[in-house]
Amino acid sequence: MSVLQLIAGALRLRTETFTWLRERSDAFYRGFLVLLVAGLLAGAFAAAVPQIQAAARPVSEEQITREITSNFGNMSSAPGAVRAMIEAYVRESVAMGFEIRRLPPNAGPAFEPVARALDWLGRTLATPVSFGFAGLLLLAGGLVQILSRGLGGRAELSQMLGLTALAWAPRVFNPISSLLELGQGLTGSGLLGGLNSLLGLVLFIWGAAIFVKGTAVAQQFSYGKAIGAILLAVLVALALMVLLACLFGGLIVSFLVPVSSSISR
Amino acid sequence: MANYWQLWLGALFLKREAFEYQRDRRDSFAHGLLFIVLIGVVVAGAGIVGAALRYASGPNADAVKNTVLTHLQAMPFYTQSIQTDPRIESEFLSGYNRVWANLGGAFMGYPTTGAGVFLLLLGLLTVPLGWLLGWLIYGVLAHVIASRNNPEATLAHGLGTLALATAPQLLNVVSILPLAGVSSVALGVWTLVLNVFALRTAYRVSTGQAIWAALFPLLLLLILASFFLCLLLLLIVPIAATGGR
Repeated sequence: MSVLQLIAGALRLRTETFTWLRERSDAFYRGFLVLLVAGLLAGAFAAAVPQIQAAARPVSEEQITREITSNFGNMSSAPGAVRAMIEAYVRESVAMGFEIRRLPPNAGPAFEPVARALDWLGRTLATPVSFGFAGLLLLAGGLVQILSRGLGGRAELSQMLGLTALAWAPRVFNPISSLLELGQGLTGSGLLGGLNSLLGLVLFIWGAAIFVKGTAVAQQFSYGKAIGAILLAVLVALALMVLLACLFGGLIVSFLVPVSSSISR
Repeated sequence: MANYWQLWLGALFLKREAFEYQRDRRDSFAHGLLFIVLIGVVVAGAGIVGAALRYASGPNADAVKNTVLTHLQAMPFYTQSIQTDPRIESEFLSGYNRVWANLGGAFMGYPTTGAGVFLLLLGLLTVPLGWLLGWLIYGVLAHVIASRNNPEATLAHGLGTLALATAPQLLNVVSILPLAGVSSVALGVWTLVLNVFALRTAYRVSTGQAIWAALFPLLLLLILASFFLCLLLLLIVPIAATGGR
């Protein structure tokens, strides 16, 4: 079964695709190829959008300054003098950013298109190995595997990771999201933005359904048990995050309180 | 090299045969050591090429430094400070130059000083050496735990198999391109998973025992780090209380 067949099978939630992958000794490798293809496609379009937008509809220094200061003005009720000072900081910071962006590359102005192409390639290649792709695959797949084994699951980790990776198959439609974002940026249409949010929701639910099916097939669970294992993993992850936040916060407070009280004395 | 490539691919994607092959080799330790050195040299080399590409596609560091300085000097905090005390100008400039000398390279994505270039090139030695050191310390600590369940397993075979857990680091070659990098969470979790897999294969222990052996060195490191952090706090608080006198 080729990568494209795997993607198509995963998107259609075909049981044969999932069981075929589960039985392979290179399940993780093949599953990862699905994530790789989806990631490269999503990354290629997502990386091109800001470049096209910048070329087609350049934003002026004045516009950005105005936008930031008006956003700040809406949010805060700071007195006039403070507001004027903040505006001065914003103006200088935006001007600095624009001036740095206008500086030519070390290799000369002729290198600029190459530099832009390298930026695009870099962002594209980084997508499959970013947190949202490989990071989440390993975290989600690993955690659900540990909990599923406790619930009587029978998958090897490589099988679980391979089948979990299929949940990234709907990301092959991410280019549509990028095009909608580009359209929204160029036309300012709110409808395109709404459509994009809807598409994001649909892709998320589609991915979640594939994840449930992948877990059920890999662990030889019923769908109910697979959903239970995933929900348990989400709860464990949330609890761990809260615990870490408390530990980190406690550490900071235990450091700051004695120091500030010593200084104020 | 083809052998190493296959081994890398097998290790990265948790192929049992790759780990068993490495465990059963007579020269498992030496082979593992060479595996780490090879990956380290390739990643460090990619870092050098990446820095060169970022230099070519990025703006001149001095021009950026001057631009930032000009705009900082136009900000209210600076103009107001100068009005109160004109001596601040020279102090600000020396401070700015010091900060730029230390952090300019990180800001630009390529070394901005001769020492920075030297350090980057030295990475061809320091990266593999650092990884080897980490591998040896981690391997010995994990061996202490894992070998309790299987005393017949040798440290050499344990270390040789654990070397395969370095495999995900090779993904860092993508940072050869500007703006590209690998998620540290992905790298960390992937390496941990491979460590568990390697320990389970090398010591023929259960997954639970392998997880404990793989986490033990990390927990020890965390405890030691917390201990030194507390020690540091105990030293800093009295100094802060006396205002550094």
